[in-house]
Amino acid sequence: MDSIIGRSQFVSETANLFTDEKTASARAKVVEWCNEFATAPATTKCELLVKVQETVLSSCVELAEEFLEPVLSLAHDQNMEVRKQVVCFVEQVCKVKVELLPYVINIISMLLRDSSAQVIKRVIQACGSIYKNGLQYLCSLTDPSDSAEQAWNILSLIKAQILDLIDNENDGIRTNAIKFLEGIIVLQSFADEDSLKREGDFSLADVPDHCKLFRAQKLQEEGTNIFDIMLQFHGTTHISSVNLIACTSSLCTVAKMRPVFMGAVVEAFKQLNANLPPTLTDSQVSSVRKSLKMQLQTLLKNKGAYEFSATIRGMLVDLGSTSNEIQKLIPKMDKQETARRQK
Amino acid sequence: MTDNGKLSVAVVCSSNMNRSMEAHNFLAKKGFNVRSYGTGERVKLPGMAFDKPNVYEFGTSYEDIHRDLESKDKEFYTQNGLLHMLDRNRRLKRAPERFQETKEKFDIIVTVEERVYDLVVLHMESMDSVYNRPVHVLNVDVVDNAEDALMGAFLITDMINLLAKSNDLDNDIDEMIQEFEERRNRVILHSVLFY
Repeated sequence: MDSIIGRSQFVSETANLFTDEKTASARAKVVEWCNEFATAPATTKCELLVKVQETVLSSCVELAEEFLEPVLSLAHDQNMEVRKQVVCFVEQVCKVKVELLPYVINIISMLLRDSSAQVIKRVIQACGSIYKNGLQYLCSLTDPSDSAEQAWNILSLIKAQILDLIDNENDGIRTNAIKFLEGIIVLQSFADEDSLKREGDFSLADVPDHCKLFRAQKLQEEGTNIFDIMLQFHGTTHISSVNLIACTSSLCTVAKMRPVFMGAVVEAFKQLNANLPPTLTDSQVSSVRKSLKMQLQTLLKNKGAYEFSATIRGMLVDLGSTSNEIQKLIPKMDKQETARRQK
Repeated sequence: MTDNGKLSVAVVCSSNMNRSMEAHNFLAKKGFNVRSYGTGERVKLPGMAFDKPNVYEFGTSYEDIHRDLESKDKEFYTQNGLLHMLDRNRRLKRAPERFQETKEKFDIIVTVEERVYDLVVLHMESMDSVYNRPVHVLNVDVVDNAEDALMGAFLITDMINLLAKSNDLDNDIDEMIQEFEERRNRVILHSVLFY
């Protein structure tokens, strides 16, 4: 028996030796790459950053903290492609080692005020998953540290910064902000029996009662406010065709995943169908109507839209759907369920 | 000078044989980072009779299709231009690809008819967006024959050339498409979707 135990110890020590050797070799390579940052041209810097990210965040995550500083310092690089690559790195850090959130989140808030629209858009895209991973992680902490509290404050600040960006003068920044806000509304609300389920869903029901950093009810109120702002944005007369299509699609996703918003979304679509923005060209009108028709068709397939099916059908007929096409979209329900929903 | 390679472009038709491949050919020659696809269930090519098309699975190489048609009736398929088209295609890539099966991400997806545009939008909407990265889907109507495919390829390349001049496409695309529509007297459908 002793010999078997001794052997397993030996095997484990040998395994450690190999792991240590692997880590040591990875560290040596990463140190070399980081040293090259100072003198390398922008394209090479991006390539080096990709290599550092692959090594540190895929195969040797234990090295992540050690190399945060040299990578994050590139957030001040003059080249926007390098800064975008830093955003990509931070996004990945929050996926594979979210405990490092307090060390990286400041950089994200800073890059949201970047001089380049390309960088700002990349940051907004990354914030979708950073906010979700951060929220999930922070709400699980039973005894959050000061740095965790600070990280939550910065996450909240980032959310407010992006909310402001839906009024930005750059159309692309507005498009990206809309998509981010769609995610916030879904995260900061409750699912119900008719909610469309997606892999890795998170809702306020997942926030434990012991959560010290924030309260579910407060986040729900904030989520509802953001939904109202989205509705207002959707209804503005000067909205661009691209943003209108993006916003229609986002509202549709919100209604499918959180049917509590279904009534307001159907009403917004009804208003849009009746009064398209006067600034749209003829072909933009065709694109918007086509998009609206497709969104209404997907809404009708959801049981959560049952209560509003008459309004949706009316709009679909107006947008060119036949009764036959519409009938095929309506989900099948037994008599009992139909009666229950009619109440 | 414009860097054509910076934009990632996809051109999509039904069978990834004629219209998308003609445009793929043109755009590749201009140095664009381009891929092409079909949205149909299978690859369909005209046969000896109207109701007997030649049908292949996506992934069957252009080389094999060329060989198959050659063995069926070399003269007929030379006359109707199919062998020539397949010869062009096999120089560009190995086999027709189905759009719904690709994991590639693009900045711009160009479709060549409304039905294809609908299928692309429907497919993208059915996927959960993970990266929140926008993609512009544009439809330019092109009739499915050799001559129109050639004209369509000119038109699509002209449009992509214009879009490639922008340093901030998301901000400029609405105006650029309007300008293009007026200049070429065309109606372009345009939607934004997310990966």
